[in-house]
Amino acid sequence: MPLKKKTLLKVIILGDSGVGKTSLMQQFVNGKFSHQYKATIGADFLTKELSIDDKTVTMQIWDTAGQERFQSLGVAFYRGADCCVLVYDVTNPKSFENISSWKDEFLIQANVKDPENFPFVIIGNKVDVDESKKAISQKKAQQYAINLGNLPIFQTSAKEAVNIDQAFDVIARNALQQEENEDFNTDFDDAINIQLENDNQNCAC
Amino acid sequence: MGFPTGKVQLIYAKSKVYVHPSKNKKDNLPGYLYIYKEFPTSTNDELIFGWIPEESLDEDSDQYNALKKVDLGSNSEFFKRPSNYGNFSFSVKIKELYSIQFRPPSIGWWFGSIVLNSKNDFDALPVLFFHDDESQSTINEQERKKRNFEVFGEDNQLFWGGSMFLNEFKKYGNLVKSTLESSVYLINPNLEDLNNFSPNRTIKKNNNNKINPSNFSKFFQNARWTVLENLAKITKFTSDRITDLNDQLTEFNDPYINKILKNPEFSRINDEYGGMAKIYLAKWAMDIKEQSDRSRKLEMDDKYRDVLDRELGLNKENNIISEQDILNAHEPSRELTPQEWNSFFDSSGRLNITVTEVKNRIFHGGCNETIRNEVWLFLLEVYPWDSSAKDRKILRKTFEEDYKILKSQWKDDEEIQHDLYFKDQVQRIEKDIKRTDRDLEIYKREVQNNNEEEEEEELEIKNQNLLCLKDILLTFNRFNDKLGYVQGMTDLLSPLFYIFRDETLTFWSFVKLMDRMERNFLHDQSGIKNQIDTLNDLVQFMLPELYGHLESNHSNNFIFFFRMLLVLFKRELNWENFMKIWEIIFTNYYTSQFQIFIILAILQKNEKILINNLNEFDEFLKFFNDLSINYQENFDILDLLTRSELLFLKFRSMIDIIDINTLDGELSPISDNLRLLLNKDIIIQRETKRVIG
Repeated sequence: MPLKKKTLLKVIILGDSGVGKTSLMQQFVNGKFSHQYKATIGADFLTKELSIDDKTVTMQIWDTAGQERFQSLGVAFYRGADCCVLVYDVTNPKSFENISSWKDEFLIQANVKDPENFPFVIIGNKVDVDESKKAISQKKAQQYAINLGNLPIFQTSAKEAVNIDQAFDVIARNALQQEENEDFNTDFDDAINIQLENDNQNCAC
Repeated sequence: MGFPTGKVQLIYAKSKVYVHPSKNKKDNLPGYLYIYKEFPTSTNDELIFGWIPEESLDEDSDQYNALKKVDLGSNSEFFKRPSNYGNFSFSVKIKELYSIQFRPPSIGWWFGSIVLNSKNDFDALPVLFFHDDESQSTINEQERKKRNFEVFGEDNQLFWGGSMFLNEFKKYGNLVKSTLESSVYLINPNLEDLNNFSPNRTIKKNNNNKINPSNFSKFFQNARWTVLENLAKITKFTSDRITDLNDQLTEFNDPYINKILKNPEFSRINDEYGGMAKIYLAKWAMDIKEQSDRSRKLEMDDKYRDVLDRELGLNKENNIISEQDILNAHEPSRELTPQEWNSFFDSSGRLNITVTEVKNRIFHGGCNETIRNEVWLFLLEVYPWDSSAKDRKILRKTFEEDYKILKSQWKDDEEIQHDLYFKDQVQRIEKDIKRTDRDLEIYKREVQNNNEEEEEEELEIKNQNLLCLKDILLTFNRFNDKLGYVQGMTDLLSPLFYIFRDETLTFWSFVKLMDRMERNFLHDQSGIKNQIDTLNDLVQFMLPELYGHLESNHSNNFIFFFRMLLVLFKRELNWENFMKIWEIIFTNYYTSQFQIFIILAILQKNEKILINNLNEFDEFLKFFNDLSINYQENFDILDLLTRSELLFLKFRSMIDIIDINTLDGELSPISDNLRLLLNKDIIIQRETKRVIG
């Protein structure tokens, strides 16, 4: 009797260098923040067990390097992703402008089946900084998220653990939905295959 | 009261007990281990013990259902006597068994197993592997123990399927633990059997043995080795088998393993029995191997050579490498001392020995940290090897002047300062500098424990040394303006500044280092991909079994070595160790790409662990990324370097042999990538045009 497979949700975090991708992941998984994180080289992941309603799932969160040229490696890491998190830094307008290119880049690299419906979540990080240093208003960001396809958006602080759990709860739910849709699609494909095989058997060769 | 006609009474069953007929996982055969009573009058030693593969059982047959029920807790069921004709299936009376060895999950062995020895020499019984993660009864028991907070089985040993079986088996026979080898139980032994395993005999044997006990640690003085030899005789194991067993010598009753078992982390992971535990166990196995290798090596330095010989298949018979090569490789590692270094130069400050001799010396031991600020200038060829002290003095002056000019090209040019690309690069550099080696004293935040100051730091760098790094990188960004600044360069620069503590010298040595490293940072990633491809070819060539394992798990793209290649192990090793590795790489003593052989050595050292435990891309990646944690402390750098060197030497001889046997005009099986590994000139690949990002 095979064991029922645990649900694994694969989440990819993308965004410009220094927006706080590693910090977000560390705060969510380990509940800590450090000033000593180093620039991420290559990619790494952490996992965390979560309960969504009655279901226990394992979330696997992938943290990648932010510099653009390293994204061509992405293809090895993005495969099988269930949700993609796009992060910008509220004090850095450029990182905000780049959100849509990160989204496009992901869709190209991950070779997603149904790009229109693939779940993305936007996070504006570092809201703990002084109001005067914020370059992107919440309103502007929200409008932008609507334009990008009604994407959920959160304003977080990885440093002070603001809104982290709320954001990751939505990420998890979206990822779970995506995973279940995929399962359904796979079953559907199998049904077709069986049909074809039967046809082959019927032919007199 | 008799049994129903044609039926026997099944009293024990264990599901998902496997036979592994080959190293290939695809061949693994799941089955049931069982004990049944043939007649109501059967005595305990007449009970039948056996194994039957699942494939011989019809689903929903009485036989299958009985096995399932008893596995899940039913006391007994009547069923048809299982056939003995299936693949590897067997059944023996308990009295025909001589001994059982219990091998809990351990180093590189994800599955625990039992080795059965029949009294009849002709019966070769298969080794049975307990796949605990699949066997429902083991899972249930594990759950029960977890609920009762009993993580470990008896004797504080790790709980596994075999310990359940052992407890059951004890009901039917007199099991006597061998006093010498605690994992072996003799079944209903007679006096003579006990004598075979007595300590007296062991000591006598040891003296006749060519292995001198004084070479062994206490570990071996326990005579485990002899026991294994005895076992080998009894069971007609091949010498390969002994090698395998040797790998498992670290049993759970060793102090350091007990220490690990007591680690709360272990029980925590045990609780999260899902996916991650596997990686943890693999790492754990590696850690143990590391520790046991070390403890063994303390007292068996010359034995160590033999181990490497065996692991690498380097022996005198096949003559792949000469004895002298091995001896050189095992010269005790000794740092180049300041006195020695000074003695290499004559009164005019010119080298009085050959460059190869100097490099040979540095390659085998690295250099003392106090002279790195001189030695590295030569290794990086900032100073020519044939220069005199006077030449260097003049050069030094030119360096100062040139650097000043280069720096002023951006610092004193307002137009550039307003250039969008330049401003972008400044941001990138500042962002990365702020998070480079901040744990080092010279790069620490000036003010600690003051939130306001810390906030300021987020916006503006204050540490003078970091500001120095920033100026160097901005100057380099202008100096090599097609390449510019790319993430990862701060990791290469910071150790140079740490050594020289001088802006000018650091800049010029960084320029030289970047000659070698530029190909890692190209926009199209072609240089780093080429190294990954080379590694791919090399692993295929040198470690075909491991390569096959990675390939069949779609993990042969070797992307998990990206970080090690990009910044030369800086993130994986501690400060002293990566510096040593850097200076050894910088010698180009055998090849300008020694980093590839270091990675090969890491793979070779962990080959068994990887093959036996891991089979997903994610798992491989995590394993190699987390080496950074395992390699920070207690890291045996001598082992890694010796292994890398021996692998290189073996590689070179293999190429020679192939070349000799390749006829003129015939296409060589050696790829260009591999052949390039024999080259000592650094590979310089330049960015062709400036690309943003």
